[in-house]
Amino acid sequence: MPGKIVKRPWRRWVNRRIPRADDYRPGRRNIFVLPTREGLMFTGVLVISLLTGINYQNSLIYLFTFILGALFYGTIFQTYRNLEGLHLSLVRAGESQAGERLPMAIRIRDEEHRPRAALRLRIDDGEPVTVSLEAGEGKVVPLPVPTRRRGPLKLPSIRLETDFPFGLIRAWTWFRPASRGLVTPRPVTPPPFEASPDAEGDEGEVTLNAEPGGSDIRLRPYRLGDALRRISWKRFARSGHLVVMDWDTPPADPRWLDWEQFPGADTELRLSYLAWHVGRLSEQGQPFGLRLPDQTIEPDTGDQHERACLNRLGAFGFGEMPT
Amino acid sequence: MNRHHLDPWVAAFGLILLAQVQRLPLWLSLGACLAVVSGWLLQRHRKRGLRPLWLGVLAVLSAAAFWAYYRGQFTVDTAASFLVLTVALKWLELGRRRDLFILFFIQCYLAVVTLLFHQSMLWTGGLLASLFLLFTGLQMALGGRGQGMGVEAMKRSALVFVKMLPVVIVLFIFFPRIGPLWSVPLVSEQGTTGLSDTLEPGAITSLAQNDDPAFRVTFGGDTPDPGQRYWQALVLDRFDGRRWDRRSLNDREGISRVPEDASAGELADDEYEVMLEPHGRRWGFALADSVPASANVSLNRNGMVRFERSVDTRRRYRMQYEQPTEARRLSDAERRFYTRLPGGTNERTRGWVAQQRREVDGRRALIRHLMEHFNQKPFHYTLQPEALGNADTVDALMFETREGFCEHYASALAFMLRSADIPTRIVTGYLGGEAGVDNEYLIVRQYDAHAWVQAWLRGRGWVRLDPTAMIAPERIESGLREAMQDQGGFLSDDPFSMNRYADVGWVNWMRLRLDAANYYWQRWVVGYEGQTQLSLLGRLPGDIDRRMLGVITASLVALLILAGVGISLLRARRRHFRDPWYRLYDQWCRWLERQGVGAGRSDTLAAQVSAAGRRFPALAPDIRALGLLLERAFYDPGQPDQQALAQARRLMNAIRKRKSHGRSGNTATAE
Repeated sequence: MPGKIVKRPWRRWVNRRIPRADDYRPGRRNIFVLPTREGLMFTGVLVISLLTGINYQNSLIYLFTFILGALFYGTIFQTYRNLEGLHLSLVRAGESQAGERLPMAIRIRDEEHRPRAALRLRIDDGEPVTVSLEAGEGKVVPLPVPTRRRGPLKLPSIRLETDFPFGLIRAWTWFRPASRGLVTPRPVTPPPFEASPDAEGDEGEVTLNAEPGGSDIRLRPYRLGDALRRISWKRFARSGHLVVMDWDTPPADPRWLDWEQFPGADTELRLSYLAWHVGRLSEQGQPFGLRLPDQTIEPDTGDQHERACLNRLGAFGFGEMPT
Repeated sequence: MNRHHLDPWVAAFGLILLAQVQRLPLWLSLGACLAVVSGWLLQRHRKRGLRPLWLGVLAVLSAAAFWAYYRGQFTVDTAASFLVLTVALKWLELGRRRDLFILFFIQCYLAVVTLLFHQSMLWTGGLLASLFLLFTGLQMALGGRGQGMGVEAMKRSALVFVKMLPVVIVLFIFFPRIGPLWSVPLVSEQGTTGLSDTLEPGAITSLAQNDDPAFRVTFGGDTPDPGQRYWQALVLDRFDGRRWDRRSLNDREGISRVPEDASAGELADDEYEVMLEPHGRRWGFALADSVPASANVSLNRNGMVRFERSVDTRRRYRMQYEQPTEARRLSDAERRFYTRLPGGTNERTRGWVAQQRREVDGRRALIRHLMEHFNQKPFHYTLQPEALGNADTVDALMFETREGFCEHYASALAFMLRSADIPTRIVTGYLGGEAGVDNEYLIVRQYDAHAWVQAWLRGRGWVRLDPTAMIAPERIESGLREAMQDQGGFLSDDPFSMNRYADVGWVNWMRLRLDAANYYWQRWVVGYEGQTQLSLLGRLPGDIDRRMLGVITASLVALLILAGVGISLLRARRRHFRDPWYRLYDQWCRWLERQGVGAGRSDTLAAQVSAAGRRFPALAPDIRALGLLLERAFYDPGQPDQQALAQARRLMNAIRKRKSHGRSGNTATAE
C-alpha cells in the first residue's frame, strides 16, 4: 500500500465494514483475501509451465498447469474458510501504568467444528502470536498493548490473519473491540514533602516514611484479604503456618491524599504524585482516602482500594468510566 | 515453519528423480541423491544449512562438472538436467521461509518438465503423486504442528485436489491450444532406440531384442494382410562393401515451429493413422503407395515420410492410399548411381551372378532366379549368425556361412542385382504389427524392424523384393516370434518382458489390455492438441474456432468461479445452523431485533441480557437464565452438555411465546 493517500481511505472503508464491537464473527463482509508474495511467485511458475506446455505442444504439461492453477484457486476458499466461523471476543481490556503494557486478552473460538491451524494475531507492528484451534476449541490469547499516555485507551485493531494451508494466499480481518482499557498515571516521586493543609498537625510525614515494624509488631494468623506482602514468609517456611505481621496503626488515623496537596504542579504531574503516594501507602497497609476535585474516595486499605484509587486517577478528567 | 516435516518432499523428489534417472548421467543422479538426503538430515536435526561459502564452492564445482559433461549443448534436455542440479543444491540451503518456497516452486516446475520425457499413464500418475506430496509437505512445513499433522495435511491436500477436479477437466478440454511460440530442440542426440540411417550386419539384429512399441496404426478400412505390412522409412542407396548408407540429402533441420498434429475426425476408408513414438529422427513410417493426409508430414524425393523436425515427442499423422506421382524414368546419372558398387570386392559373387545372367533371359527372369536361389539353397534365418569378417561379406554369406538376418540377405541381394546392372536400393523400416485389443489398431514394435530391397524395373518403377520371404516365409506371415520358435532367442535378453510370454493366455490378455489403455491415453489425453481439440469440439453444434474457444473457456471458468462463490455463500447461510448453540444465539439475536430492545448483535451478551431484562421485566429471570447458559456455552472452555442445550432451548421458546402472549395482554389492558 503506497503511502497515506491510499492507506487512509482504505482504513476508513475497512472501519466502516467492521464496526467496533467486543464480540466479532468474521464473515464474507469483512474477511479480505489476497495472494501473498509467494502466491504471486507461484503465478509466475504457472505462466512458465503454461509456456513450456505451449512450446512443446505437450498436453500433459497443460494438464499439470491446470492442476496447479486449480489448486491455487481452491486455496483461496481453503484459506478463507480458515477464518470464517470464528468467534472473537474481548476477555478484558485491562489496566496498566502509562509506559507499560496493557494486559489485554481476547478469546478466539471455533464455532463450526473445524480445526483451525496457524492463525496469527497481531497488533499494529507488534510480534504476531500464532494460535491453532482444535474443532470447537476456544483459547484465551493475551495480547499486551503498549501504552504511553494516561487515560482511557481505545484498544487498537487486532489483525487476525492466516495463510494456511499453503502460504500462497492470505486471508485477514480486523477485530476492533469497543471497550476501552484504562491507563493509570505513572508514579512520580514527589518533591520533599509539602504538608497538605489539613494534614498539617498529624506528623504525617513521619508516618509516611516510618518503617513498618518496631517494637509493637503483632503476629496473628492469616485471614482472607490480608495483603500478601505482610505474610511472614520466614515463619511460613519454618512452621508451615501462614502468619501475618500486624502492627498497630491507629485505624482512626487515615491519611488523606489530596489534589490540593501539590500546588503549582500541573494536572498530569499531580496525578503521578498521587499515584506514587497510593502505591506507597498501600504497600505499608496504611488506610488512606483520596480527594479529587470531582470525587472523594473514603479511606480504606487493601488491593481493591488501591485499584479503585488508581483507576480513578487514570480516568480523571475523562468523565464517568463504565466499570 | 517446521523443518521436521520435509519427508514428503524427499519422497516427491525421489519420484521425480526416478522418472529422470534414465536420461541423467550417473554422477548427476548420485550427486543429487546425496545432496537431497544430506539437506534433509540437516533439517531433521535442526542444523542450519551449509555455510554460504561452502555452498558457493559446491555450486561452482557442480556447474563446472555440468559444463564439462554437456559441453554447452543447449537443449531442453540439458536445461532439465540443470534444473535437477539446482533443486538438489537448493536442498542444502533451507535457512529461511523464502528458501522453502523457492524449493517448492522449482520442484513443482521440475515435476512439470519431467512430463517432456514421460507421457505414459504410469509416470503421469507418479508425477501427479509427487505434486500431491509437494503440496502436503508445504502444508506440513508451514502448519508446524506435531504428531498426526501428516495425515491431516494429506487429507486436506487430497480434498483440494478432488474438489478442483471439475475445474481442471473443463480447462483441459476447452483451453485453446495455440501453436508454439519459439522452439528449442527437446532432446540432445543420444539414447533413443529405433532404426538408424545406416545398415550393416547386425544393425537390425540388435533391435530384435527390443519390444518397445515403435508406432501404432489405426486403419479407416480393413487392416492389410500381414504380408503387405511393409512400413517403409529409409532408402539406403550407397554401399561401401560392408555398410549401406544414404546419399547426403539436405536433411539439416531448420529452427521451425513444431507443426500441429493431424486432425482427429473419423478416418476415411482409404486412410490410416499412425501414432509414432518419439525416436529423435525426422522420418516417419508408411505403407507403400500412400501419401500424407495430414499437414504435419510430407514425402521426400524417395517417397518416404518426413517430419519438419525431429520426432522428440509422440506424433500423430494420417496417410491415404494413393499412387504417389513418381518419376517413371530413371535418368542415366541415376541409373549409374543405383548400380554403383565398390570395385574389387566379392569377386566370387560377381562371377556367379555374371554366369547366372548368361543362363537366363532378361532381367525379370534373373531376379526371379536369384530369389529362388535363396529358397532352394539351405539358407538359415537366425538372430545369431556366424560373423562374416570385414572383407567380401557377400561372398562369405552366399557361399560359406549361409546364415543371417534380414539385413544380411537384403544386402546380398542388392549387391547381386547391382552387379547385374539392375538399379537397386535397400529400404529399411518395419514389417508386420500385432493386432491390439479387438483389432482396433496394430502395434508395431522395435523387433519388427526389417530391411528389404527395391529394384527398378522399366515400366513398373521400384519393385519390392524381400529375400527374407524366400528363406523364412513365417517371418513375413506371422512375425518374428514364429520365425524364431525353433531356435529360441526371441527376447532372450529380457526375461521380464510380458511380450516374451505372450503365448500364455492370461499374460497375453493383460498385455493387450494394458497396451490398449496406453494407446487411448496417448491418443486422447497426451495427444489432445490443437487439431484434436478442434475436431472434437467440431462435433458440437456451431462453428467453433480458436477465438470462440477462448470465449468459451473464459466464460466456463467464470461460471465455475461463480459456482464456487455461490456454493460458499449457500454454505455461509447454512453455516449458522450447524452449531446448535450458534443457532440458538441467532434466534435470540433475531428476537432482540424484532422486539427492538436497543441492543443487537454488536453488543455483548451481558448488554443484551440487561437491555432485554429492562424492556420485559416479567421475562427477566428467564432471560437472565438463558444469558447465563449462552455465556457458559460460548466462554467456558469445557464443551456444554446436551442437557444445558435442551434447557436453553426451552427457555428460548418460553421467552418467544410468552412475549407474544404478553403483547396481546398488553394491548388488552391498554384498551
